[in-house]
Amino acid sequence: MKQDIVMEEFLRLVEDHQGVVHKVVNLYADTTDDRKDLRQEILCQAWSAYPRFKGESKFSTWLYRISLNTALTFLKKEKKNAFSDQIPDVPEPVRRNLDDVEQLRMAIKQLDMVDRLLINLHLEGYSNEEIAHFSGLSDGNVRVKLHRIKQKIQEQMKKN
Amino acid sequence: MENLDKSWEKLSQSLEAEGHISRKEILRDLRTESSQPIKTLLKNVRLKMYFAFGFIPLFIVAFFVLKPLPVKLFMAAIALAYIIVSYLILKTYNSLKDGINLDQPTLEAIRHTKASVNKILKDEYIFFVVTFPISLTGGFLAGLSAESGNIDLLFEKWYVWLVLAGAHILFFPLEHYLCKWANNKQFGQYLRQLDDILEDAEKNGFDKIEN
Repeated sequence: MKQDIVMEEFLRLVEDHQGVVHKVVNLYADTTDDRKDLRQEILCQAWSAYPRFKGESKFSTWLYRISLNTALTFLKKEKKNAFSDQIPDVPEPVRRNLDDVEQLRMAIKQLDMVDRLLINLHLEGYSNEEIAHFSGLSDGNVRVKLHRIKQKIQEQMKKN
Repeated sequence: MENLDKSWEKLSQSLEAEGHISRKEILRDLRTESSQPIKTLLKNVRLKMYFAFGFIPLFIVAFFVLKPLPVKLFMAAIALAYIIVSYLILKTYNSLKDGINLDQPTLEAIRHTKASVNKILKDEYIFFVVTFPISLTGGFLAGLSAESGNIDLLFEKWYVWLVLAGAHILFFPLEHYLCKWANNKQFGQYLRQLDDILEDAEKNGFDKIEN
């Protein structure tokens, strides 16, 4: 009975904050199958970790952490059909017509895993201190690193 | 920079909307088994544990039932080796059966994952190193005793010991490389993936990574 109540509470929270999961899934996995596998894994991990969630942080922040950590520790499948480190070739005329949003998505996906994590959190509005706490990086390093990542993204967007 | 924030806002909305799922789908996802490599490894560990625990009573019974002293000593040694290995495996299994805690800082989660995979692979290696020579010796003696009918006589012949030693010298390196190869085939790619992320992190100014 108690388990049912906990499950109900968890489901409600996940339903309300599922956007966090989809954001991570869509930025870290490329194919439909990979996205589905990663989403399932994130939800499994979140459910098994839920008894440890004490409400010290917001549920969305906690879910973000689980989602990003799962994406980073998830087993990549064969390169040809799994999370690709490379962005698929986009024909030049198509590239020219990409709007800012698509260009940003492509630029983020071209970053390495750790940079992707940092810029995600930054763009989500987390402070440098929170990002440091979240990732294990020092405060100062977060600031320097984010500055470089932003430059990299803007250069990449210009190139696209 | 402002443009970046605006673009992110739009991207963020589109990413959130792209995968929206119903409560029914969330429930279905929760019922699927975790595909974390640790879980796969633990399944193998569990099988080995059952195997080891299953054989211990047999060796103990054999110790009391079989008469020749060398065989008694051999059975005692096997039982002891299996007890030690089972204890090691059980300890690892208990510490990891709930999976890796992924609500800790990212770097810690990756380090912990890598250390856990390595720990299980090491235990698996110890298991093979202990059980393979025992199985080889057991099989060898069983075969010969079935052939000659008297195991006591076998131990009196020097060439029996020589052939047995030769078999160990020949098969042990093979077993060692086979075990390493199998682990690398199954989990090498995953460990390299974790290594890449840790290297990235180190290169990018994270604290010095301890392996």
